[in-house]
Amino acid sequence: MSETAAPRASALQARLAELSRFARAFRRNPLGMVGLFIGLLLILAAIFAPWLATHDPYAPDFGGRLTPPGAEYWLGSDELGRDIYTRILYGSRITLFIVALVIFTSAPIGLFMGVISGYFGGWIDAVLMRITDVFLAVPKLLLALAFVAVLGPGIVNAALAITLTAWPPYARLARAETLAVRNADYINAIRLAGASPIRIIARHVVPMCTSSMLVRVTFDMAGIILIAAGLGFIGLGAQPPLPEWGAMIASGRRFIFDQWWVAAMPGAAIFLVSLGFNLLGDALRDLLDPHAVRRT
Amino acid sequence: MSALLTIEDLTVAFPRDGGGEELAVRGVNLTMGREKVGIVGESGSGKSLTARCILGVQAVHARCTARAMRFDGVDLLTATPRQMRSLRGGRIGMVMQDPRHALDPVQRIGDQIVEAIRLGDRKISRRDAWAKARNMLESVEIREPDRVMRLYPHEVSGGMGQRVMIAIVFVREPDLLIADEVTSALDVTVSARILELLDEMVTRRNMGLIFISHDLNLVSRFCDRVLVMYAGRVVEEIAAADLHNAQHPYTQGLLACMPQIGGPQEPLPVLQRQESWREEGAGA
Amino acid sequence: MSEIEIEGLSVSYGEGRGQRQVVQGADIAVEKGECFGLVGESGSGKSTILRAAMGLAPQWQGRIEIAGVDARKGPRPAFLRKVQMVFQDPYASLHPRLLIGEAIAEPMRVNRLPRVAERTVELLEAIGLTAAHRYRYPHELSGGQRQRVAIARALALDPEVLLLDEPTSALDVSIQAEVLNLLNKLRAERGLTYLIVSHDLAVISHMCSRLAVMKEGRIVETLGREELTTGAAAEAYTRDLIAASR
Repeated sequence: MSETAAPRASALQARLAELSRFARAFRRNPLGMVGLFIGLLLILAAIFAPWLATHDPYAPDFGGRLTPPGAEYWLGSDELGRDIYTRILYGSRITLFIVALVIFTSAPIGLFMGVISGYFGGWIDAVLMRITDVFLAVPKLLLALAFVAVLGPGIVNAALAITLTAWPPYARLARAETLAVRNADYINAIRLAGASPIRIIARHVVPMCTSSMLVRVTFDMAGIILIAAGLGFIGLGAQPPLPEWGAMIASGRRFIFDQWWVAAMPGAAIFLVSLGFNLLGDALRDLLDPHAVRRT
Repeated sequence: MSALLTIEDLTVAFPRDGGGEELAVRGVNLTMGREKVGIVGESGSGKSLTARCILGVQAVHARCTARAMRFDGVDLLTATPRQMRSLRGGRIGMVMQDPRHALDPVQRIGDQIVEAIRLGDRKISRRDAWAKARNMLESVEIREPDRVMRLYPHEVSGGMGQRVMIAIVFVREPDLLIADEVTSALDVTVSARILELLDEMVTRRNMGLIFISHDLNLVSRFCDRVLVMYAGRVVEEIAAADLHNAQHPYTQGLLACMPQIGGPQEPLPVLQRQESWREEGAGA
Repeated sequence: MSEIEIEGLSVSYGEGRGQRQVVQGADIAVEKGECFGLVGESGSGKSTILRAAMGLAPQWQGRIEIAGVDARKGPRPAFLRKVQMVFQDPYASLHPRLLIGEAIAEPMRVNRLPRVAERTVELLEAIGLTAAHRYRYPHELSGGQRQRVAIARALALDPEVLLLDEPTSALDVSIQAEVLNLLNKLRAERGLTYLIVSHDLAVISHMCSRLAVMKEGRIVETLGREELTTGAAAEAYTRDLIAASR
């Protein structure tokens, strides 16, 4: 099948060709492209917030309190006269920060636990998986709440609290993938080269877990945003005056019937971003999940 | 002899990755009566796809087109899904390579045969169907039919599973049987017996048989005539007895590159594939 | 002393009540430079013997010594430098995320051998591919090409013995011919010793001078190529097998 393809001169070129093949396949999924677009929008909003903003996100303007959406305040203003559009823009930084912090801590922990557990089996597996079970048995928000209650509210603590609840599913997933490949002949072949278990795991088993991890992580981003907003909403996440979306909804709750935009605008932002990550996750699963049937 | 099955200019296309279509079967013609026709070729030659299109069970994204496709007076191209369903498993039976994938893993073997019988004859009582199933298992040479009928598919060997599959297909008394690599998952001693059995049953019932295999020698021993497929087209059609005098270089090459017991231990002749084989007409 | 010595090999899977004896008291001796065949039907334990020799079957008793190194007592790295294995299914034996060049280089990297890049190209050329194939993924290769790559990987540590587990049974006959020719050429050029497992007596007859027939975990008979050709086997089972394979 590859006989017609141009010869490649380096490993880098081979990886790029693989990447562009993936990109071409991804482009055929319109909903996935929508998800990708929303994700990029979030990142761009976070980077360019100071330039895109129309007001100061913190300075109160009591003359313009609770103004409905219009020419001055595109998405309206809140009870302190702050521009909601501007605050949502700055809020995307907080959202992105929490998501990144959670993913970069929970995914490696879960991957490590799962791969070690699955590869070695026996009592190592039993011990690691019972620890995982303990974390899985406690409701997510409850565990996060308890953690924040101990350490005190704040963005970093909220993120760490979410991490605490987010890693066990990754451990389960990585373990399942590892069990599926650990006796494959290509892993046996590496064993017969005399490679150490560490090398086999790091170089040969982990790469086989990454695609399903990536799919799972993308789906989870939506959930993380919701939990972070939830913590903000009940006052245990980001603290005022930070423009965290959940906290913004909480402050808008009092005006929900008369000045609906105060709560609805950050709510729409949360909705849009979690929808985006779900669409992206769906598209990635169609492409990367070996168990899903290829749809054409 | 009136034609049982007529296929004219069958083409199967798959959407290609970068757009456009890839032809996996190209212009296959076949007219057969109640006889044994072998289709041989290497993997990817389109032999199984051809069979699947006859039954209308090709993959969802495969596009089957033909100028004509008729089975005993029924136009397969315009048949309704309902008509196709009654043909499949009824007048046309199919046995596939691995019985462990074709049998329902959570149903006892006996129940699966009974279900097949009652699908064909809705008036038959359960007791009669059970007795009929038992007889059928005996006729495919299963020694303890009562015991086997109570087993689940994973509890029987590959050879036994294939006998069960054959029994399931034959209870409906089909007019045409499509056998796709039925013995390639089996050991040689088992597969020889299964083939004899299949041969006997097809001959006795005067059925048509399409026997798909990658094994030229097997097909030549077993069938009346043979279609040799390469890259989606039939490159040669030949009476099975004359296979060793095949004209097409592809057929000759396939025969020559097989090692023989007691053959010379010299390097085997290697098939030199010609680009022209893809394009020529049906050949000799 | 023979190149491959297997004495009283018994292999079992599982523990306690569920324990299953897969191989019982197998003795095999293969001389240096010889190709020895192991035939039998599915479940006869022929592949298990190879897996036990390579340390891929957990529980075995008996003695295995290959190229002078004891499989149990000898140092593992030295043993693996002497003997390597080629698996049955080339679609399952190459890591899907590794480039062909990386797959072949990996055993040399693990063992810290010098000249990895040059040796990788030499090996690719020895099996009839080109240096450009280094930068291909397994899914871009045909089944026959993949099996060649698996052979190149097995040769990367320059072993004296190759254990071949049904090396062509997943391939079309025309591709099988190419791979068998390649294996014979490599054996002649490098003075390799083969122990080849197959269900196909014609393949064994083409490759080997002697063979052992296995049934239900035991070796029922060891015979030469002549007896295979004439069908003059001592055991009835062997004669049946030969008759069914013609």
